[in-house]
Amino acid sequence: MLPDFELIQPENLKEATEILLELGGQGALLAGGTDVFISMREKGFRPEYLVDLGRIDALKGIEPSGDRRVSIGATTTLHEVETSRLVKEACPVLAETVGQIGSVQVRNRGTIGGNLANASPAGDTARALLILDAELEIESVSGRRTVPIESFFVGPGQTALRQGEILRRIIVPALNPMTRTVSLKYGPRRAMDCAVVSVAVALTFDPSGTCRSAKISLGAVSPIPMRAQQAERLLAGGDITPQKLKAVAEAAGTEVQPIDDVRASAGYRRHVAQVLVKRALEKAVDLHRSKIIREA
Amino acid sequence: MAARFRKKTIDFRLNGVSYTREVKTRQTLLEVLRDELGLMGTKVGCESGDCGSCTVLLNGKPVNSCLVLAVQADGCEVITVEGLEKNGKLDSLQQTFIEEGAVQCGFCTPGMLMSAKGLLDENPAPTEADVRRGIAGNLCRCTGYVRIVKAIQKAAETERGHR
Amino acid sequence: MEKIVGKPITRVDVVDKVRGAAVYGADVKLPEMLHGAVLRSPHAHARIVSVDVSGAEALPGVRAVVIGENLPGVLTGEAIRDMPFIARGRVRFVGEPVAAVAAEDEATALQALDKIKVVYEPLPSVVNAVKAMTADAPLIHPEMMTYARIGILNPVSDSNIVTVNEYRQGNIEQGFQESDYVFENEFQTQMVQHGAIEPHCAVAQMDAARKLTVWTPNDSPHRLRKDLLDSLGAACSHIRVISTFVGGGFGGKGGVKAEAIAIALALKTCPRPVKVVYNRAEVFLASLVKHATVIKIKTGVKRDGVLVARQVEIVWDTGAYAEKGPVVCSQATAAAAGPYRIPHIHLKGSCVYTNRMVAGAYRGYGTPQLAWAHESQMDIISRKLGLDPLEIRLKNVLREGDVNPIGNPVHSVGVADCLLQAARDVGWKERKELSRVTPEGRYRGFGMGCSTKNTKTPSGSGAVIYFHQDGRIMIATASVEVGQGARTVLAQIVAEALEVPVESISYSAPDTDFTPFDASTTSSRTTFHMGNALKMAAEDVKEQFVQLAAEIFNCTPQEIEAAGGRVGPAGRPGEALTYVEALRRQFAAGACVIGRGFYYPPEARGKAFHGSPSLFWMYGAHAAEVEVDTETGRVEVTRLAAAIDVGRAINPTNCLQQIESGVVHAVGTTLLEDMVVDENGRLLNPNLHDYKMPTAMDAPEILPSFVEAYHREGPYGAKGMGEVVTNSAMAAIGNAVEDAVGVRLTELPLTAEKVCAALKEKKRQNDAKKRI
Repeated sequence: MLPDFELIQPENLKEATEILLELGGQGALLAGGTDVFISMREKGFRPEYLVDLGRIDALKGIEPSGDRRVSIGATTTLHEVETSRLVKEACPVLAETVGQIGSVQVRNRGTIGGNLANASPAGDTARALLILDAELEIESVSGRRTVPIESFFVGPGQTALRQGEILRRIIVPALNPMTRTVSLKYGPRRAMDCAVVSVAVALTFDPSGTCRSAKISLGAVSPIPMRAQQAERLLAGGDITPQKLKAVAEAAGTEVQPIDDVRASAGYRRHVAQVLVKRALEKAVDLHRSKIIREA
Repeated sequence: MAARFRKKTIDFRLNGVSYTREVKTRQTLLEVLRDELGLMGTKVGCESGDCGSCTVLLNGKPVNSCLVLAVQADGCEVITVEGLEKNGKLDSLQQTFIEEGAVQCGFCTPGMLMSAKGLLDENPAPTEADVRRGIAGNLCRCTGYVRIVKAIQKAAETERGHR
Repeated sequence: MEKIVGKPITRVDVVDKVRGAAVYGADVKLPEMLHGAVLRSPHAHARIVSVDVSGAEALPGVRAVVIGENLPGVLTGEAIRDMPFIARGRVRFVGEPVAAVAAEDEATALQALDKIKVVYEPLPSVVNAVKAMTADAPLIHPEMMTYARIGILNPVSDSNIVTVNEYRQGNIEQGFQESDYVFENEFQTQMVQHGAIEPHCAVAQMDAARKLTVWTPNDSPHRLRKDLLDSLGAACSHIRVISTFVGGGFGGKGGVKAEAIAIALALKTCPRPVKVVYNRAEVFLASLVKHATVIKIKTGVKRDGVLVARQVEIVWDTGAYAEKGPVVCSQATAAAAGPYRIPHIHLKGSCVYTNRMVAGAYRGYGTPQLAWAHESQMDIISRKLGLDPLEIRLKNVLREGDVNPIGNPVHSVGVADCLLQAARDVGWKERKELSRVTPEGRYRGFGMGCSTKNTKTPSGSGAVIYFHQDGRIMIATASVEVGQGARTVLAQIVAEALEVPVESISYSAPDTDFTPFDASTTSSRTTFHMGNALKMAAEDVKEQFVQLAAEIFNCTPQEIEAAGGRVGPAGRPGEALTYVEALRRQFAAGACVIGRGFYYPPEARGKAFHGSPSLFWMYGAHAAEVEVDTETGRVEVTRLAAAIDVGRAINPTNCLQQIESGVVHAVGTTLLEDMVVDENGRLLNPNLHDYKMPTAMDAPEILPSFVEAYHREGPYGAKGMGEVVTNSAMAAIGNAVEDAVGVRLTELPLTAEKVCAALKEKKRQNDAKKRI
């Protein structure tokens, strides 16, 4: 049984942000409920008020947003993101990664905004958005601001959202046609698991075949979903050889700050992070080579 | 003006029948189905969205009813296992679950059927991998899943044959 | 040739189940029913200094609050009565009930729990069974020797050892002397959950005449009733237990669990019924778990692979209360040497209290843990001797008429065929032709194992058949349908014996007021014992119809022939009457024929409880193909062949269903599942996201088959099977991992992290050797 609470159903963002500010710390946001109800049942979370975002149109839907970008409403379900033609064409790695979360039932209720706001260090949506240079539109009574995804997470379970702010839309630029992406999630089971380690990579090649730039994100190995920037720099502007990939993986291994928990030890996570980074990069290179061959 | 309440009168369609009910905000759809509407087919297994035994179709999509507030079902269409049969005739899935031996203790069965129904409505020709993915959120300890997967594939064939 | 027995008929209860119409424990609703909730100990071991329930009692809507002191002297436990319904004076595990509340609704009951104030004085706890055996370990049950207990227990006073059971044959020291090689290994298994999807629950009601009725998904209503009578004494004038459908048992739905709380409350809320439904965390903490074990196994062999001597020492971690632990210890330890011919054995099991979750019956009743040990070691032995793992087993496994390690001659022994079938199905002979490394770069390996399990002997089952005048045949037995297909198999036996359609058979709920005594639906005993009882009852029905026909046809019973569901004068089939016609002819005003049967193994009459050699032994073999990712250590079971000796497949589909179940269950136990308890006795993963049960995407390709080594005393040759279906799969996987990557892991589960660490260690050792 859930603890008692008052439900508030704002009709639009203006009402929602005003109410949230008024409630101070007493109100929690409700989107899909797949995280908040579990917190209420298992972690003793007892908010006095739940603010249900389900009626707010501004938070819904996936639509193009000028100059090859996709705008995803924060209360879009994970299933909608996974199956959206727009998302699959513009940034397939987001669709693919979101499809790795939970189960069908969870994806039919869980929302992309909820997944991000939950700010789990193992967050799946986060690691895909980190290699896509996504931006987050945040609404409050004072107006709207945009935060790049790299600045959104500030600690385990903590985001840059201030009191009274609501995540409004996630803006994702379409991938460069010369960019290859791979998203890998590692856990004991093939479904339903919080990642023990997860990785997403985006490699952008130039016509000569060298890697122009790289983005490598990792989940579950640091207090927040992170980019391995040192590792990325090693890849930029050069040929990708097995030796380089090994060095890149090792560099990523030094950048992560995993912990011991009931799922795995820090040492093991560090090790698997390196393995996954190497594999993801190898696969991205393969994808590039196959595409070149196909187009030739 | 934003509505604020601890209880609300909601309207929804359940297994094809319209209902109007007052529910408390803290009540989940699962609780209302079982405790107030006498539909005991949907089961309580974990209340954390991990076992799937509470799966129902909400606007045609499989969801864990333990993670849906009853008020969130306002204006929606809900189908539970009791709503699968039509005029006493079992659904193809129910039929194939029987024929293929996909039921042992039967506790996961209602949730499995609803996930399967949602899957086939969205994807009438699933591969085995699609089927396993579609029921990955439904835990079963009795069957090893083999016959459940076969039953779903067989029902898909049956349904395609009907078209 | 049988007509219905041996046929894979559709299960008789599935239509209700697919319609959502089957009633399980939590579906029971009674008028004026109250909701029960439980306050549980946060400490692994503590003295209860005080419990103040005044705040809870004062809350509007609360109808009863119960603490341990309200049930003085009430102790329960099948083997030793050591467990109060609600803690009294002391708590012994995190999650133990300390108080319970019954209220008009769930919300009020939970609110009331918040108002109960308990003061604890923590005591030193011990969460490791081996440590719990040492002289300076804190005593968890200082009063252990004062508890009532059954005869097979040998407790060690002033200790946490609730029983020690030993078996000897031959001369173990001589055996080791005669061996060419002696192998000594230690293995460990972890605490796991049964994982039944249905949580535990019960509804209890005490009426104004002090008659107590309990509705529960309990696997053994008569045994529960006895446990309750023993513990409650004169508190109730009469106790009635009704078992609903069970949403999965695997051994975990026996004994006194949620029933204790529901009853404790119902005694106070009389005459209103109380329902208690455990949430998932409570199922983890306070229902039942599998015994974690430490197993030392020392085996002597000849260089040609023949086993000469085996010494096994097991420490069974039985948790804070004994429950069935001592019987698991006694019975499983007897099977510890495995399904082999071994002249010299010494088997010793110690069942030890710890301040952890209560362990008890779990599919296999201790034999899965033993099989992990003896089958892992068999591979170690075969590797050292350069023998094929299949050959060394075939050389040593029991065959019909052999004497087993504890000195009993065995009958109905299909283990050799199980090994051959499992090996064939996994492609054992061809395995060396496959490439060692898969296209994805994973290492492939094959492994196998075999096992055995006994059944509790003696035990009895009674059955009544009501043959109604409309042709409806009601089977009244206390066998519980837990998903194993008992109703179907028993119906097939009756239908075969009476030569009537299965569709004419209906079932009473298991109800101690009306269904005769049955020992339990456990120990894989139902098909055999209740099947025999029903065969007897069916013969009784048939005999009565013969008598009836003799009356009708005015001849002697010897001149009557009963065949094909009809009775009539022998040699004149045209005149035969159906059973229904015979009834109507003689009893125009209505009738019913009542058949009865009670089966109790003949040789065991007059002998002690648990005192006889096992009536039958079950056998099984598994063969696994795995792929190991050497970079991450992740093990994937790609294919698992499972062959189980069932005696006779009354329903072949039923048998295959259980075998398939066992494979996935075993994958969970071997690779995924672990109840992690910290040094303070707190369970760190009491939920289904952090306790990982296999999903449909985690199942291997399953290659099931069965063997039929007919049992001469089983109904149509059948024995039991449900409990050996996981046993040898664990070691088959572990052995396959060694085959694949050359590391031997001795501790379950085989997590990727452990395999990875073992691989690193192996590499380190190899590198060190190279440097020398």
